[in-house]
Order: sequence, then C-alpha cells, then structure tokens
Amino acid sequence: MLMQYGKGREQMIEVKNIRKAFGRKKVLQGVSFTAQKGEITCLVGVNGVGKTTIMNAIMNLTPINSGEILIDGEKLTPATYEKITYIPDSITMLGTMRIEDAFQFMRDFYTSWNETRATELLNFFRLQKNERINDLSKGNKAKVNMLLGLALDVDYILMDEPFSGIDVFSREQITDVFTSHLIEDRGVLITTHEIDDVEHLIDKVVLLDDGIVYKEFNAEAVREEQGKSIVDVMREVYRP
Amino acid sequence: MKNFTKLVNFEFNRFLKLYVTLLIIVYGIQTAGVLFHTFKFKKLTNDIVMRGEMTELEFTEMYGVFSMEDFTMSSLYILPIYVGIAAIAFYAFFIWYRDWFAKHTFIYRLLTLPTQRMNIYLAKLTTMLLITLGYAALQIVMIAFHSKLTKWIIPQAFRYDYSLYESVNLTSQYSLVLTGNAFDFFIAYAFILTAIIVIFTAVLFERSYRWKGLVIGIVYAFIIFLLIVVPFTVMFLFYYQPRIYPEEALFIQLGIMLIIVVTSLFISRHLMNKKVSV
Repeated sequence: MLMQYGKGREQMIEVKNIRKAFGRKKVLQGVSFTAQKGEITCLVGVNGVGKTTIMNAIMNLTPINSGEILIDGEKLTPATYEKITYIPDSITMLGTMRIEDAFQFMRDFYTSWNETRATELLNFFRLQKNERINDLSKGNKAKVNMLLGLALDVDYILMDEPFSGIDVFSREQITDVFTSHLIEDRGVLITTHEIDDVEHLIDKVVLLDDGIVYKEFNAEAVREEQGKSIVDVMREVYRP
Repeated sequence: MKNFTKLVNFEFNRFLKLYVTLLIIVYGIQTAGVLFHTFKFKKLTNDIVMRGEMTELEFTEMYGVFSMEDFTMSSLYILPIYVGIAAIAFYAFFIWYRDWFAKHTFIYRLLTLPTQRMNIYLAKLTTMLLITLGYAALQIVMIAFHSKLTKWIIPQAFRYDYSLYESVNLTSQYSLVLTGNAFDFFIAYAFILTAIIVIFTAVLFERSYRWKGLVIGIVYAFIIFLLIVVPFTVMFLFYYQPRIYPEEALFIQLGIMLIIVVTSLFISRHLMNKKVSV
C-alpha cells in the first residue's frame, strides 16, 4: 500500500458521504471513498452516474447538499489550489491566448507553477509556444490542458475523461505520461470510459452506481487473486 | 492584493479590443455628426455671406451664431452616447457569462485560482468602473476636440465659444456618465456602482441556482429598484405638503444605497464561495 504520512496526517482526498441533487434528480446519494497520494484512483460508472459532479465537488466548483470533502485532512481553501489541480475534459484557458500567454497566466497566479516541467512537457507533446489555443486540434488542446495541470507542483491531480474524443497517437502520448516521473508520487483521480488504455496503470477502482459507491477495490489484487480485469468486474456490476 | 491587481489587469486587457472598437464607433459617429452640422452651417455662411447677399451682422441676426448646442442636441451626437452606455451595461452581464459560455470554459480556471474568490468579483467590478470612467473621461476629451474642430471650420464672427466647463455641463444634461460638478459626480457614480453591484449579484444568483436563481435575481433587482425610488416617490407624493425635502431624500437614498451595496457584497461573497457552480 502506498499510503503516505506527512505531518502525522494521512495524505489523501477523502470524500465522505456526499449527496447532491439537481432539482429532483438525486445524483449522489452518500458517496464515500478515498484517493491516496502516490496512487492512481479511477472513478468508473456509466454516463450520468455523477463522476464529473464528484470531481467538481472536490474542487468546490459545485456545491454539495451534504457530506464532507477533505484534502490531507483539511477542508478546501484558496491555498489548497496550490496542491490540487483539475484537468477537466475541455481546456480551461482562453482560446485567444497563445500557449506562451497561458504559461504567463499560470506563472502569474500559481507559486506551484514549474516552468522547467512545462517546457519539458511542451517538447514531449511536440507543441509550439507561439501556437494559439483556438488554432489547435482537439488532441493538441487536450495535451495543452494536461500540460497546464501537470506543470504544477501539486500533490493531487484530478482528470476528467482525458482521452475523450482524441486520436490514438495523442492517447498514447497521454498514457505515456502516466508511467513517467510526471505522475510519480502524486495522487491521481481519473474518470474515463477508455479503461483499456489505462487499466494496467490503475491502482484503485471506485465503481459508482445509483448514486453510491457500489464497489471499491485494488485493481492489482483483483487481478492476482481473482484473475479478473477491471472490465470483467465492471461487466459483473453493470451487466449482471 | 497582488492577485487582485493582476486580475484587474487581466480582465481589463480582455475587454480592451472590444472597448477600443466601442470607443471608435461611439466617438467616430459623434465626430461625424459634429462635422456634418459644422460644414452645413459653414456652407450656409458661404452661400449667403460670401456671395454678398447679407453682411455678417445681418446673417447672425437672422440665423444666429453657431455654438456647441447646434450639434449636441442632434441625434448623431446623443444616440452614440446611449449606445455606448448600453454596451457597457451589457458588458456588466457579459463579463461573467463569457467565462461560462465561451468555447473554452475559463470559469474552471478562474474559480480554482489560489486566491480569494472575491478577488475575481472585485477585479470584474473594478474593470467595469474603469471602463465607465474611461468612457466619461474620453467624452470630455472629445468635447474639447469637437470644440476645436468647430473653431477650425467656422470663423469667429459666426460662432459662440463655450468654455470646456460650460460644454461639459451642456453634455451632462443627457449623458448619464458626465456631471457638471464634484457632488453630482459622486452621486452619479454611487448610482452606477450600486447598479453594477446589483447586476453582479443577480448574475451570481442565476449562476448559483440557475432558473430559480434567475427569478431570485430579477426579484432582488426589482426590490432594490423600489428601495432606491422610495425616497423620491415619497417626496413627490407630498409635493405640496412636504414630508421630506429633496436634500433629505437624497441623503436617505444614499443611505439606502450604502445598505444595498454592503448587503449585495455579502450575498455575492457567500455565492462565490459556497454556491456558484460551473
């Protein structure tokens, strides 16, 4: 187990019994799980099960009706955004900006911005600093989006559908990131439909169904002990 | 404070291109209006005086002299001012909605900046005030410029020159952003600030509770409107047997506005920190 301890406190994201309704539709009905630092945790569930809502709730981008979310044992404050970042499924920079403008913006506002790492990622993804975001392909936008998150020296990275709608080669490049030092030692919480691409990388799986956590398991343990892949377990849950 | 300053700079620069375009359109049309009226008068003097049909004195007795009032009352001069004010009022909404509804959802980035969310709010508010003040300041510069233009085109014998102060006073009669003296300036900008803050609060209600929030926002703005007009309504209702005098009504109104501003800022802070949703 890669659980780490810092200042006598467990380093992880704790989602405790959160509930969220949109109008009459109850999306989350008491969701609880943890995502440890140093592990890749995957939130899995069919469309509309509330994966993105959980991500948004962790980042205080949508209010929850009840429950509690702690990061390293503390509630989120503005300062927490220096140790947790969110990479949603569409780019969070202005389309009119060039990549270098986006770098400047990040440099201006985040003390955790790591320019060396950003340049390294820029070369890794074969992007040009003077390219305008609006002019980039969907795959390259996804890479810039990922770059802006990964170039922050944060402990936790939340990624919502990082492979959504992008070509196979860009997908490979992004997958390579997961096995590199860029992710090492950080806590990653990811939602994806493309389980096949990341199955071998995932440490922990949280299966969501009917607004609750249906199952939470260690991917490696299930693989070794039961000989099942994540998709096999998902099949049992969603298509019994 | 540092983040606030950076955010103001960022917000202002985002609007700069649109702002410059707006200013060029508004003051371009105004200048065209000034030139149209000035040359029209110049042609009249040419046609009559220069051909010797009348003396200068006879002409000015019959047609009067050309002054700023000849173009400031024209629709080409007044309409652009209102178009500009309407555009700025529209931007009070757009400055928020562009972060949610643009092609790329920048609101995710803004709300996850490691700074107090009220800094984002205050940066947008400051930007709106800078835009309004800049618009008014340029109007003063343009009044001086238009006055110079008429001096270049029309000979002194056929025109009456207002001082800049008199010219600003003339324009302030219909311009919502210009005033003739410091006290009026304070009152006008207290109104403008209150209006922007109330619009921001209504927008944040909508962004927090969507359809329900839209209704809450509209009701909130309507209640604020009633509160602001109450003192003067009371004054006019009892016009012949005054219960409150104009100065009293004004100070009551300022007091009400102060309460509205403080309340709206508290509500906005709560919505920004706890309720707003991407």
